[in-house]
Amino acid sequence: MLIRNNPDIDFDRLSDSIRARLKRYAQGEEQRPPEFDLSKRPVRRQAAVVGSLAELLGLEDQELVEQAYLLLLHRPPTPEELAHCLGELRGGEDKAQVLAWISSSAEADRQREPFRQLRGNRLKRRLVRLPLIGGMVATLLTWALAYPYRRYVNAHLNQLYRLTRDHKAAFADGLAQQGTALRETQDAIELDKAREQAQAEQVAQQLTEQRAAFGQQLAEQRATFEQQLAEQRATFEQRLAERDRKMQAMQQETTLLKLRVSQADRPPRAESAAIIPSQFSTDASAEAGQTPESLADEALYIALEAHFRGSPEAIEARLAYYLPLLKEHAAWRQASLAAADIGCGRGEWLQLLRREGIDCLGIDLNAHNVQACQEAGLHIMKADALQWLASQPADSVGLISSFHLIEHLEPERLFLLLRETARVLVPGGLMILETPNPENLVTGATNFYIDPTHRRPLPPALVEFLVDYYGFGAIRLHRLNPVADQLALQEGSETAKRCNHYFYGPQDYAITAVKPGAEGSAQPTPP
Amino acid sequence: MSGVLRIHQLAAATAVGDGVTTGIFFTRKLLRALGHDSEIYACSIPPALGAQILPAQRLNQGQTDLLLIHHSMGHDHDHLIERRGCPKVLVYHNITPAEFFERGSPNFHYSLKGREQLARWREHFVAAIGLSPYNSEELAAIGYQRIATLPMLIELEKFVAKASREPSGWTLDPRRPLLLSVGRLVENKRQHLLLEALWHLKRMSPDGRPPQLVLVGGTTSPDYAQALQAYAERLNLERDVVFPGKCTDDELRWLYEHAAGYWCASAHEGFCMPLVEAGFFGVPVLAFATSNIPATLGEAGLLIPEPSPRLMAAATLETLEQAPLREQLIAAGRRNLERYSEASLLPRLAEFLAEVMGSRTHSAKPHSIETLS
Repeated sequence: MLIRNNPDIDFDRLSDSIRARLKRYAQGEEQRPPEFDLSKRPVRRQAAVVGSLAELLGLEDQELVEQAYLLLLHRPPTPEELAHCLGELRGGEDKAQVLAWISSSAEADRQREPFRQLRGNRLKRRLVRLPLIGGMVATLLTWALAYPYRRYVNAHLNQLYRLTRDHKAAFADGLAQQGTALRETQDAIELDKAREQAQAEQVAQQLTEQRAAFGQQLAEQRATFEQQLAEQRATFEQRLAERDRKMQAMQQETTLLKLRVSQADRPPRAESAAIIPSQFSTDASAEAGQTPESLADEALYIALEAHFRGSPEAIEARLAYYLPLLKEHAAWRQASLAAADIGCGRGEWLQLLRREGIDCLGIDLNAHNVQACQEAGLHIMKADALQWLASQPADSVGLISSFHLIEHLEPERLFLLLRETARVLVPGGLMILETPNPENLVTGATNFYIDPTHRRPLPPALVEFLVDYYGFGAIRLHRLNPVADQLALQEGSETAKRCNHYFYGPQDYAITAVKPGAEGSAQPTPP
Repeated sequence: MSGVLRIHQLAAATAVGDGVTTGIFFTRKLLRALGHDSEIYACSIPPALGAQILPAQRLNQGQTDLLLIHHSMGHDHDHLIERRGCPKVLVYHNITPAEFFERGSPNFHYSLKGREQLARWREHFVAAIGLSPYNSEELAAIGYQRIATLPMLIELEKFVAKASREPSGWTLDPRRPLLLSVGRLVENKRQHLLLEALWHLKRMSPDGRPPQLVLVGGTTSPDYAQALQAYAERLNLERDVVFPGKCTDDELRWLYEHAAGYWCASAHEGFCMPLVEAGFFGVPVLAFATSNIPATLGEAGLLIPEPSPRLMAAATLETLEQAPLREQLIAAGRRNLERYSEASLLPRLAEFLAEVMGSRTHSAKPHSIETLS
């Protein structure tokens, strides 16, 4: 009875109930309604728009025929009837005659005849179609009806004028409507265009935004990457610095250890005068085998020095220049070690100081020099100058001198020498550095290179700057040992004067400087 | 399948409030909800939809990953389908069989042509969507493969939170129950059976206040509509039946809100949207079980297997008099909506698109109807 599509519904009970209802219904009144029939639909009479023959005659062509059928027969013409009537009209037949034909049918006879005037036309139609006399009748009728026909034609022309006027107006209306429609279409197109443009702008905007976002993202990624790189680099450099520091510390420790080993048996400073020579001679012979330079090379250096530097007496005479400085800066008196001469060579400065009552320790690496000094009874130590300095306590030496040593050093070692000297000197302690003067072009270009162990000439300005940089004060430049006057040009002219300056000027110079800090002055702060 | 796809829709004709057009809009909503770019293109666009639908000639097939082509009645735009190079999916809305139209009428012609096109275009489509099981079966019968049944038809939101308006000038008696039927007055809808059922119902009603029937719908077959009105006169139902013609949305909403039952006597329905709409408004449905109607209703409504107006009248009185039965029918109608909801359709549509696009890139092996529907 019903399709069981829902488990919630009790279909058996429902079907029983429906069955009972239908049973009750079957016992009652009539149950069969009339059957539905598609053909049984109300037929509606079509009414003509026109109501009179005069109105009908005012129409033309198809409209005339359709309205004539509706008015006379109450139905539209069949396609065949329409074609026949239009053929007649378009062939020149009189409208009244066509209407007469429509109204002459048997069907029209069954209709109530509304227009008796058409009966005359029907008679006329029959007469003009009679054989032989038909033509004559037509002519007579034409004559008889000429005037009314003329009136009809005039009326018709008048109607045509009115129709033309109405059509013109209708045409103008139509044009206006079409114009409106065209404008609306145009507006719609404009709207569409605007919409498309807006969409395009939106897309462009989106693109710009995406591009900006992408650019920002890229910049952020780049920044992050660079930051990571910088961090890694910093970490790496830190590790490197740490390693360097450790290595340096290890080297220093090694140096200290070596020095401690070498000085382990050194007697107290007061007794050193007697002991040091033999002590160092032992050291010198012990380390002779370890030095890279052979004893033969060291002998060559001694010979070179003897040949070019001058006699010990001459040198002592030159060194005497510095003695007044020792009086000016007497801090050496309070120091635990009064003076040290680094690279002491044959010991001329040591000899000179000894005569002045100052005990000076000579430091030299050359075994021949060490030996010569020992033989002269001077305090001498065969050691690397820098290592020796590094092993000294701070503020412990009153005077540190170095004659013609710094031009043998690589820049890094020179810097180290200055830093360590600044550290080791007592406040107020004096430093003397003497070196060939390259301002004398002969010295700078030729004589300097007589010593093959010289590294590079050091212009006074450089050394002066470095000394200042490492915190020394009271810095003075001493231009020394000019060429003998008799060898110079006679200064009769500016050219001779300049030539003397460049070629016969001081051959050496010295920088003297004092470690600040004595008598309330600030301690030097080596970088 | 990943990323945003450009999945557009194309239809030969669109119309305001038309079932096919409503389905197209709903499908666009689903596609956009899945994150795809989706536009609607059509050859015929009513001015009121000009802002939402683009002209077919503006469709750029090079920028279309998948084109859903809606097909209902036949049309003369064959080139639209045959010349589009992008991958295409047929969305089949069903075609009323030609036998329901007068021979020689345009509907008769386009009904035949629509089915002929359906068979001819089979090779043009990579897959097909039947909007109802009935449609999918027809597609399978003519050799389509990779068919999914997805009823993407109903925009239920159009009824939500909107005002209704009582139709004025109709001869409705508020004391009498209101029965409703919505659809064009045309032979295959068989509204004459409803008049007959009303005639029986009037005689079965014990209290002398039988329901009134409102037959909403425009006329596409004037002869049938005239005969229907004449039949109502012959059955003396002039004061029991109302032919209001087409209704506005708010009038229709009022009718659904006040209806005690919904009748459907149709001989052929590809889907029949009003059956689901009645469920939305809590109106019990009584229908003859033809074509897709049982599938559309599911567990909802009372399905009468043979076209018996007497049975329909008796069953209707049961639904009017038995409150529990009435409640069960209303609940089933509401449950039925879930099958057509966005939440239910979205994953199925996504799965279908993944299958289709996946096979476009990986293999061309066709699937049978069972695997997708």
